[in-house]
Amino acid sequence: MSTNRKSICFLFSIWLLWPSGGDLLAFGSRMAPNGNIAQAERTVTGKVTAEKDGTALPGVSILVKGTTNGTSTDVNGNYSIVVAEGTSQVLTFSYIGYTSQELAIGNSSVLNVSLAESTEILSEVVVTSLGMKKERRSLGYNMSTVTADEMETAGTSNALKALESKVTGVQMNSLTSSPTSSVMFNIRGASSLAGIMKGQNGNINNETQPLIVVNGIPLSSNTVGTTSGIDAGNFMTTINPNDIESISVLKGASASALYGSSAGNGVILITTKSGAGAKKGIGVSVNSAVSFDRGFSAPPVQRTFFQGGEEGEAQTADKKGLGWHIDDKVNNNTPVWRWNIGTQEWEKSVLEARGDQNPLLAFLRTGTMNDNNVAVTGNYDKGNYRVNLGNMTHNAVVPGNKTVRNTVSFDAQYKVTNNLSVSSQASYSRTFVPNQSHVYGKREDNPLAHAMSMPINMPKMSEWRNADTWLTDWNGTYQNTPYLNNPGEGRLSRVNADGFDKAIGKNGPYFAANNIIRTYAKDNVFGRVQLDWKIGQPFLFTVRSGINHENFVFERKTPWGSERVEKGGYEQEHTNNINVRSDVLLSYNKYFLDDQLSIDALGGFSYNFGESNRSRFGGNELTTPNAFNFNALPAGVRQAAEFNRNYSGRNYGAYATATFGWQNMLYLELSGRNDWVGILPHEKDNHFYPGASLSWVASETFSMGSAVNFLKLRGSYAETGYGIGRPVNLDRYGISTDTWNGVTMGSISGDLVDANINPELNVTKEIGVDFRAFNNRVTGEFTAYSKRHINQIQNLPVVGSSGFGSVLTNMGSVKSTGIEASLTVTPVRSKDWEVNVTGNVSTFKSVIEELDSRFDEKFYSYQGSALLPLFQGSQVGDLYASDPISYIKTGKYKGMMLMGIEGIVEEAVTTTDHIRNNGYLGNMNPKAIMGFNVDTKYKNWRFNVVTSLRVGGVFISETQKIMIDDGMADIKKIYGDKYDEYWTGGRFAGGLPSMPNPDDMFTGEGFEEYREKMQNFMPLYNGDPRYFGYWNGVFIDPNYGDQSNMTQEEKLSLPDEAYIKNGEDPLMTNYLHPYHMEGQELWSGAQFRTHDATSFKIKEINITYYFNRSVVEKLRLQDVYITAFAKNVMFWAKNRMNEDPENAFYDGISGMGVAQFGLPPIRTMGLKLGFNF
Amino acid sequence: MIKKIKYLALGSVMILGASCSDQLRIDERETSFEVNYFTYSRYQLTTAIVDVAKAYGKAVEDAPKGQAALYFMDCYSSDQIGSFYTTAEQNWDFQGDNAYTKQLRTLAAINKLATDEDNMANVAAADILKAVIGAYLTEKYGNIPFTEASQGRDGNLFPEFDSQQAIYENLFDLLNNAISILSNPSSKGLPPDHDVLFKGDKTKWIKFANSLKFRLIMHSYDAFKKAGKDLSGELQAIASGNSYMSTVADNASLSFSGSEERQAWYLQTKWGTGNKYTEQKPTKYLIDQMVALDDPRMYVIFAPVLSPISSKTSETTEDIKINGYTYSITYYPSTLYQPSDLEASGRDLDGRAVTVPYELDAMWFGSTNPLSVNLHYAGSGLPGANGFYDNRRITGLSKLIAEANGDNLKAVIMEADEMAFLLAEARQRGLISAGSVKEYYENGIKLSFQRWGVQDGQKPATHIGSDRIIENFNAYVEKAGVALDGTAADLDKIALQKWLSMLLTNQTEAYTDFRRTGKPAFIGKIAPSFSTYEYPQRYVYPLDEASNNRANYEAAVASQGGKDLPSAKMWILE
Repeated sequence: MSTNRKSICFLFSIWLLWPSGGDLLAFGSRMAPNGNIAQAERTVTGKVTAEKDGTALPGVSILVKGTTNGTSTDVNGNYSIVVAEGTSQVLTFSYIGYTSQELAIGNSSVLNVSLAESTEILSEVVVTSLGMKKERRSLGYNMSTVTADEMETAGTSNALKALESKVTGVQMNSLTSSPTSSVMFNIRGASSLAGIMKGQNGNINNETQPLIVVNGIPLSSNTVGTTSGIDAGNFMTTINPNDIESISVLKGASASALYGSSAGNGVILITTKSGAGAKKGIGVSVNSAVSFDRGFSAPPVQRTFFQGGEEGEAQTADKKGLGWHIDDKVNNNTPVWRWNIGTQEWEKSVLEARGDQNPLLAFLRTGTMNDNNVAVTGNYDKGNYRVNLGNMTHNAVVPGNKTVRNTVSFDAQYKVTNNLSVSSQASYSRTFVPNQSHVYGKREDNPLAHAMSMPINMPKMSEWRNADTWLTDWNGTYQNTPYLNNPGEGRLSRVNADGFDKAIGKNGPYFAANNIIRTYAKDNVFGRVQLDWKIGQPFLFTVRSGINHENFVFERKTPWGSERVEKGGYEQEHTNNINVRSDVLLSYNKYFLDDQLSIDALGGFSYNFGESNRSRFGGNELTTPNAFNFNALPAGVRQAAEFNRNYSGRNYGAYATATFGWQNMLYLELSGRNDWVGILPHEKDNHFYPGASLSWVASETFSMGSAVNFLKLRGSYAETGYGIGRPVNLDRYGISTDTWNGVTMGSISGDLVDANINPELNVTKEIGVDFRAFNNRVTGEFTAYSKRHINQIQNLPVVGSSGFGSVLTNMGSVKSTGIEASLTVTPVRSKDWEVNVTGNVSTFKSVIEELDSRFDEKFYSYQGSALLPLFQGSQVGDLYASDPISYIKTGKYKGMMLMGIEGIVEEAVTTTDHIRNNGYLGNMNPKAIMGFNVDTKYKNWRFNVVTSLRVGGVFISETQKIMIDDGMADIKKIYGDKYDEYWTGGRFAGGLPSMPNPDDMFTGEGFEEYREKMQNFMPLYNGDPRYFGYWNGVFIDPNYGDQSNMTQEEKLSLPDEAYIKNGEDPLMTNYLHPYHMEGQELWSGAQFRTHDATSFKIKEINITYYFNRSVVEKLRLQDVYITAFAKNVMFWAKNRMNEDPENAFYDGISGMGVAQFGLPPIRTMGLKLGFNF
Repeated sequence: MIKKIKYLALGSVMILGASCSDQLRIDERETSFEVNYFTYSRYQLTTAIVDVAKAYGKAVEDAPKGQAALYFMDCYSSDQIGSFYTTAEQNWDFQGDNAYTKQLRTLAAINKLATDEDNMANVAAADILKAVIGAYLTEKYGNIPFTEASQGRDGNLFPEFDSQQAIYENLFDLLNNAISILSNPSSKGLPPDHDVLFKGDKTKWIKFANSLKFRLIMHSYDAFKKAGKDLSGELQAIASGNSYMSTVADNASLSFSGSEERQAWYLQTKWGTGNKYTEQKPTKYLIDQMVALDDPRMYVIFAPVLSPISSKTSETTEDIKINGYTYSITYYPSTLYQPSDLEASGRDLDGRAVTVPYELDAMWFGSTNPLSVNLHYAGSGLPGANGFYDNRRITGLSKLIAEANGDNLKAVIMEADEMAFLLAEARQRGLISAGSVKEYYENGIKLSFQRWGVQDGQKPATHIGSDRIIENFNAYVEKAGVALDGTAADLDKIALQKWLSMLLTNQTEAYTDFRRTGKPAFIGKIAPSFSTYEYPQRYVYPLDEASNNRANYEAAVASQGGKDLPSAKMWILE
């Protein structure tokens, strides 16, 4: 602890020292006492237009030459800049696609400029790895950048959510549809074999998350975490989107090679806002957004059958909707006991329809988000600063769920001398979640499952909402729920000797949401200090250090009276971690040979230190109600408390890069990094990560006419890695904690390591082309890549007779290939109008290219009765059914399903070969992601639409399974055409016209089991054929030979006479009542609930109005705008469950591709008002 | 310029501060995780002795073994006969441990460390223990990986299986080498405190090694002879050398402290559920033999029936004392039961369906039937029954066996009585010429009595009410069913007494001995009488080998008849 504090203290002490220096701070000396701007300055205004058609040019950057003093034009092309007194100053006007101009100010106070379109190449400068600024034209790899202008972050708390369909080569999955959720961000495909081997405990996409780098400081990976099943956020959810200036995605390994061992999965580069580009002097900008969320899509629920047990009996304590039809007056004629939650009294009546048409949507409330930010900037000759205060409060759509985030950020730069500048940055973010429900699975504490499976005879949500969640006089002890057992009895008589109240059938949805509490608070402190020293041309020396400290506290409180947790529970977790990243860099920049050859080089050394600690305890059975503390837990739970203080890790890296440019048309970039990892001598290891890229600006070499403004061809190669110290292949001997009769015993440890183990690497190759044509009205880029994730290191099982259980070795490689293309067309660009239309496409395919033959092919069991394959040629993300439907292979019944007495799954062939040939379900990741965006400007208006189309992939809906088991799924609607393929009859198809007397069925010898079954089943539902159906399959005549000698596979190719076709003879038909037909049978058949994951979303529609300058100036403001935004406006999915495949998770982060409730799609609409003064 | 320096200094200090803050942590890790931080072989020796002996002795609670030797039937594992021997384990099983990843790894560590330290006596002890494990595994499975085993560190991840002959030769080498090291008076090692088996007494280790070698030669004598190698000279050398286990003090058996569950006797009831103690019920065949001889060991090892169905007219309880332990016996009137409750349906040893009536007021009454032992005689729902893990209508284990530790409760690897019976057998078969059969045989019986604490003296009229069990040793050996008469049937008597002596002490060896000798003959009948399976001659290989070492597994199976079956005969049994 003390070491953490020490490092933090260093940072704080620097910031504290700073203002105390008095004259060190720019605003300290430049401000007159009355706060007015000092007299020695004046303001120059003007308008910038296009030379060709006179249209105003917004966003033109204007710089006082030789200073950092600058501004940019507003939407009307107007600018205003404060300059120092004097006539010798020169303004530089620059704009992408236009030739820069320099104008001397002289004595003018108004300077209007018209810029000529440039046929020259771009000189756009981008920030790449390590914070290096490079001309985009020199890059040999693809790098996508999205600036604050292009990100509408209002209505969401996670900036990554605003990147979707604007960046190519990336697959994003929000953990839930909530605007505050974490986002998994996979660059160029998930490629981890470890994820496959972890099976149902892993997540193949979460294994390969990119590195997040803020202003040159590598912070952490974007790995998403959950605590106790809820989304606990990651670094990206703690950073205020309003502080972000731009986000770049370094996709190719050569871009990230300089981050060495930690950047195998690519890099998200974040540049935060500073005061540098701000208005001269003090500026204040305020923006405020309010938005409203509404769940708008839910799985279809049946509203025609009452509650009933598995045998069709009336029921009110459990929630299965397997009962009688709401119009059935024949069966439904005896009053049953029911608890009235409003009056809290027992009542007796026949069942009647009362509930909502869609109880889930009725349960979810309108969520609200308020996001307010105030930024103060100062921009002066000697430096600048920016301070931002942000508050975001989100009331989620699930009642009682809330998130509050407060952020403070500070950024300052100061030029000590012309050659020495210092910058610093500090931010503090506190995310407080007073309650977030666990929204996955058929869990007792998932309010969504309780709402969605609300039977039609239960109260409407409005009644639930108004009812007290506790029984009168039993606050905190006994829940008020209509699912009460034991009607008429005194409440306390139902508590058994151990104090367990077994009277609660199910939790109420509001109880689950409001009374079972999961709370967390996350505090993040980030600080950075950087010193740039121009030692003398052409050398620049930079020292930079950043620190990030995160503290996380989690609590779960389950009160007494909860379903299955009758005596409640309590849980606590604390984690904190700290990362320190420091770099020393020397850069060199010079032209040679009459400026034909340029060399841009950099070398440096970095040092990283990290440590994390964690402690937790938790369990059930509190001594007294509402006693949410450690001491109220049973001794066993208290003893199991964990306190893990982890040892620190650190690594060093030395790196160098050089870009050689020839005549501004040919660029060769070489880079390399060597990393040393591990602390102890035997752990010490070093790996070298090389990278190279080449780009050729062809338009510079050949004249391409006026049609082609710019054409660049590029290619790159690089190796990046995964930091793993070389584990030592030795036995370690020690003293055991066990003794024998007081005699000290020894112990042996040490894992087996393959002697020839190689570092795990990502080898990326890419080629691409960038172009601009037709006066820059058509711009596009195309990249094709191959990423080989080789030498993946895993602990693989070895035979015990080797002396070991597993060996750490290189198990194989995954090759990801794909293309990334985008095209922007500007069909209209006139004085008032500008329309930009962008389309982009990214494809993904990750195939297991090599597997160590020693470890054979395998399936790993996954959620949703699925399997993950591990064999050469299979794709990362492939899913197989563990019990594929068996189809007859030969004869006249070829293609029909084989069923047993219990149904279809019973007869599944589960040999590896059969599953491999017949069980393929699809891949959980999309084949391609496309974006189609329109950005339109008309006078003061801006209108843009962002859409996203995910093509291909599948997901398994466990939601469907649970709803079917609960009898709540509208099964005919969900199955569509497949329904008639599988079944004849069934309650959703009106049942069967008639059924024989059970005593007349299966009377022959050998059919005893069938006959007994029929005699048991047929009288259920009073033998009413409207509730019955049967599978369209064949079964094996029990008199046909001895089945115990046949393998399951052989049963599929018997002669015709071996099979009896269900339904052909009514007396030889295996009928099923609702639970057996729909519920029990489908429990383990993944193939029945695998859906196409293709989906289309209108992600955003934004309309912004910028107020006229004349109006703004009257208000003494600089500019004012108002934006109306809508997110997830429309959602279309190919699946009939209306679920969003993007958020398909089994529980929190686990079981990706398997939906198990989770939040339904949510639409957000809101308004944002911003003004600067 | 001063400012410049100020900033430079500030920045440097910060970076240095952050960089150095973890120095303390590094030192801490160095001391706790350094490679070879602790290299004394003696600590590993204690671990090896404890792990080998504790696992080997665990056969006492191994239900399939207890049944295969026809000592016990198990209440909990119903439907045992078929599944016990055909189901493959996941890993190699040395009575619950995977010896390759546990004991053999420790023994290899001793070998390496002790050789470096020049404590060669520790190496010898480790090799003797390695021979115990090698013999156990090969006698359980047949061919096993041995010479190439446990060499993962050197890169051998797919060890070949050795033939059983090669394994035996290897075991003899290990033992011979160990004996020669220990016989060298200058060999160092075996510190008395860490040698928890023999307190550093090298002569006892030599006796152990010789006895073990004698056992292994007896196991493989015929097979080697068939292969052209007569090992009788080796047997004779041991027999005439007198350096073998001959007193209870020579026994290779580990004492328990009883201070905690981990250090307590297997069947203790002090910690845990006590189910292991109650669920094993002696077979009718064992009890019949002991009752016929009025064997004193029965009164030490077993308790009378606790809930007999009785001819008494009312439920009555009485306390009786045996061997110093008092038992409360509750008699349940037979009128409480249906006539069908009073008989158990089963089969006799020839497979004929029979019903075995309950012997009213039974005191010593064994289990007849391997199936549903807990339900025999009036189910679990009727008075006097004790549920899933017990059947109190049948004789159970004595209270002595419920103790956490004691002189009679040890983790046995090999004991002197077994050695005496081996000598008797060898002498009877003419494999050795030293000593007399009668002498060896009677000595074996007496050593067994002694190890169970039976006192030699005037035998009382009844052991009911006794504080100690006293037997007239000479009278016992003169009994008709015991005394040898010089005929071929003497081998049967030797086998029967050996079987009785290995009850609870070495059930693994009892199972091997039956497979080798086919004696006592009735043991082998139990499995076929209740199932379509033959008597299990071996255990099938673990799934781990079949899936992770496929080629070598298949070669091993091919060399042993082509199928991995319990009925396949291994080399020593051919």
